[in-house]
Amino acid sequence: MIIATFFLLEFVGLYLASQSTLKGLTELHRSIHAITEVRHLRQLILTQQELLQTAKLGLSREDQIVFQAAAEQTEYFFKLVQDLTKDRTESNRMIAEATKTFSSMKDLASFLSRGEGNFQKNILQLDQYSLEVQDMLGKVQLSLAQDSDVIFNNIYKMRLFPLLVGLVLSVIFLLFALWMGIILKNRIEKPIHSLVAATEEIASGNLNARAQLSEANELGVLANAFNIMAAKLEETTVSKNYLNLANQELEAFSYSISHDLRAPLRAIDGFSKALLEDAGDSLNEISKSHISRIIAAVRRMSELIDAVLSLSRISRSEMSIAKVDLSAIAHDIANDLINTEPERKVDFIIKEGMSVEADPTLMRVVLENLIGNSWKYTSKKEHANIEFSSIEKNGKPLFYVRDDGVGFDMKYAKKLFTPFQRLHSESDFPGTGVGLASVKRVMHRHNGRVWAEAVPDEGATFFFTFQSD
Amino acid sequence: MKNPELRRNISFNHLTYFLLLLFNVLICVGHEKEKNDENIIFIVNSKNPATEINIADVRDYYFKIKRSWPDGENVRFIDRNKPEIREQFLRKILKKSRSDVDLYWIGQKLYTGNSAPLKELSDQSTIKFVSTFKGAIGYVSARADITSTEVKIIKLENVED
Repeated sequence: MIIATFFLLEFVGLYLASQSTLKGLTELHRSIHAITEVRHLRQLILTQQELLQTAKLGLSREDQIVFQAAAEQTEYFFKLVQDLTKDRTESNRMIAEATKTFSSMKDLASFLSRGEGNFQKNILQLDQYSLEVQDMLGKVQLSLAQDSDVIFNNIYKMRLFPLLVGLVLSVIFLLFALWMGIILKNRIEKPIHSLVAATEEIASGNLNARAQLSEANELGVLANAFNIMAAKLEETTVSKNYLNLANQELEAFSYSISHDLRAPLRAIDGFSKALLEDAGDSLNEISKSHISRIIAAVRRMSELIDAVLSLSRISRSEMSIAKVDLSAIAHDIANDLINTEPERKVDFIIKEGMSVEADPTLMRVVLENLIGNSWKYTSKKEHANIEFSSIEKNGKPLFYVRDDGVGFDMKYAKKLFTPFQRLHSESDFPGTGVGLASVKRVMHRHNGRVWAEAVPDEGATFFFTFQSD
Repeated sequence: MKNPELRRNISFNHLTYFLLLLFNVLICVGHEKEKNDENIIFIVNSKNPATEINIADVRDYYFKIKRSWPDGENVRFIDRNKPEIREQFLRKILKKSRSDVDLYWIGQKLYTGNSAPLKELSDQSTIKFVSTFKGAIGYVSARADITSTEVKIIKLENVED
């Protein structure tokens, strides 16, 4: 828009600057044209004068025709010259006077051709009028030539004016463009510098830093969005810190409670067993059943407490990163499982050479839970397959444990990794419900992820990776 | 030539011839002078209110420096072709040679567009011209027969010669 305005102004400036030159050229053309026509007029009048010299001896019919034609052409040229000199008062006045004199001359010629009036007087008048017309036309010719000189001199003086105007306008526009450039640079640079400074401040830990809001343009919108983002980040970070603190406190509390609950549970369990042994004979079957159910509940509660403690330990334990041979761990776990139930027909497919940089203890927890789950949920199959392998995704390995067990409905997939949430009944598949929660917590501590895909009665696949998406 | 009478007669004859020759020469020179000194007079149209004119004005009218009479009428000067008459005009009025005047009109033609006035040969045609134009002025021989009522002689002031 600005550049278009510059071009328009330059064009208008050059047009105005050229106007005087163009006007001068038009005037010069008119003047030269008028001079040429005056020269024609003088020649025509001379021709008529020569004819009139003949007329002293009497005009022939042919001479009259020629004179008439010359007179008509002379009148046409007079009108033309009068039109061409309309802007030049003095020349125009003389042309008008010459036209008038020529008119008298034409009348006299007419008298002569008809033989009317005093012949000698007419001839004398014709000669004088002819002389006077020639004089006036000569003056007009000279006057126009002088005018042409003046016009030409003016054009010559002004010849560089359009160029100068163009140059001056170009310089002005260049300076203006430079000024605009500096202003634009400042307007762009200042908010960008502010944004960079705020980003660096935030990166260094000062979450209070904000970018200065500039004008209501794209950069202002960007700075505003950045400030909103920084505010949310600050809010989130503060919340996260509080949350972490609260979690830590909660875990400490859970650990403490779980630990402290063990003693009363042991007491309940011990006294229940003692009651059953000491007074077993005096109790009826219903009372014995009640005591047995108390002991079973205590065992179940003890298992849950152990699970809670285990989950707490995973969160609280110090991490020690080292190279972990996942394939070797998987083989160990598979062997242990096979040894516990040697009658089962399960094919383990474990890819060799899979290793990662991670905490070995925690990675064992992950694989124990995932492979252990696969073992558990394929228990109802006569011949099961369990595979532990990896593929490469985005340049990093994506590990998975796949089985062809009971699977699950994907609409419950989110509940899988929540502590104590179970998709199957205790009677079908025993468990505490903290296994996958522990896996999720371990992967989270490694900045990784875990998720599952499954089809009911066809099997499930659990993926885990050490990249945070 | 030892005869003194004869020698005296021869001397007398020589003197007579010389005197006769001198007489003839004087007559010729006088006649020529008379011929060259033919006086001129200026005439104007009888409708022209002017009765007298000075030489400076005549010069201005001839050279087209002044283009109109005091009453506003256009001046139309008629020059002459007749050498003895024109010579008087050039010598007495304009005080310029013929070549100077010719050169002047060439210059005028080039630089102002003005042409030299028309020329008439005879006094009668000059009178006719003057009678035709109200603003006309011309000169004729002082001996010219001015019978026309359409022209009048205009008195010349400040004649230096």
